[in-house]
Amino acid sequence: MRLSEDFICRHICGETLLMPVGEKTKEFNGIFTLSETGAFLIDAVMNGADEQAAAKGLASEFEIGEETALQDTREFLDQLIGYGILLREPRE
Amino acid sequence: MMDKTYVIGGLCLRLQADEPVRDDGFFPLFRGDDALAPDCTVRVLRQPLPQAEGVTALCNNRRRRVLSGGTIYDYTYFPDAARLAHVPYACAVREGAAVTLYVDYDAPFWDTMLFDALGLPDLLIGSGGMIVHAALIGYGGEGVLFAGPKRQGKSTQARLWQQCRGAAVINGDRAVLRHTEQGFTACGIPFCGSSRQCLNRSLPLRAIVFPEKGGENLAEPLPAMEAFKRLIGCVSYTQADAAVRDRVLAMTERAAAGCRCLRLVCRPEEAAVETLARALELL
Repeated sequence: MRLSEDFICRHICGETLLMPVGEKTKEFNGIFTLSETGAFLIDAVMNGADEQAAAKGLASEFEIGEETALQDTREFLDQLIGYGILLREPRE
Repeated sequence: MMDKTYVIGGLCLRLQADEPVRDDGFFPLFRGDDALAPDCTVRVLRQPLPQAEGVTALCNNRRRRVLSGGTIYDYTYFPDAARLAHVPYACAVREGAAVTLYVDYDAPFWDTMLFDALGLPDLLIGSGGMIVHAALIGYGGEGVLFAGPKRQGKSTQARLWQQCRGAAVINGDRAVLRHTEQGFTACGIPFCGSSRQCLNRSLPLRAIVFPEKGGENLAEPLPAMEAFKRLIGCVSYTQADAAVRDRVLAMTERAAAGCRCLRLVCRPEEAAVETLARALELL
């Protein structure tokens, strides 16, 4: 899983943002501000973690049950995949 | 040889051409002393455009950017009604601070044409300034920027300040925002859209105001993140160029965190001026 080339992730003013770039800005006229857990998951994915590993990290970092973490991770990542922000294939 | 120096938003630019460049629009207001050391020298050549081979970083009806090694080729197009196509008429070739502007167009040179092809927004960004879609007024020795999307009342509020408080409208449409050792400065620029309001003045920045049309008048400080989101949408730059984009993000973050930023819900009336004036006094 990886971040699409149409988006960038930046830590700005103490928050984590997902921003469309290039042609994608015509489609997405806005910036996504991530929650603390969302930022953690994006960082994990950008560092090469898969869904399972990201969920495990989330459970440990935020002291929640692994099952809940996996469910939340799946929901969050599926949402980003739906928007085209994350792509399932690995970077070439 | 024709040799003209301009100082725009703190960027000193020298234009050199083998033929005259007609004074045009508000550019004569921004002529600088020819003795100044330029940040950027532009050599203008009337020649066929170079055919660059490399990575196309941007391509639309108006612009095409090709990256080849360390050289940037920026092509500018115009709509050719006879050929029913967009045709390139200029190519700015940038290698470091040196720019060669090739023009293949059967007409005399004039300022607006050359500056349009130069890609001024990115040149300014390279020198630490950025063009913001905003009306700039000067009041009490300081500048106030009214920034934001179209039809939210930027020009109207600027005009109200002019009428009610005697403020000077420095630019009705665009301004350069620059960070210096003394703080943030807002500067006039020769492009002013249809406002036709343009002065060459630079002022320390008092605040960035984001007007919103509403049923009442209300001014409130904006948190840095909200100011960032609003301001980034007002900056002119080539988004497809990652280096330019990163620089703009950093500059916008610094401005959002370092400038006084206000949200102004407003009606087109004098009371909106009073509301903002009170809020500015409290900053």
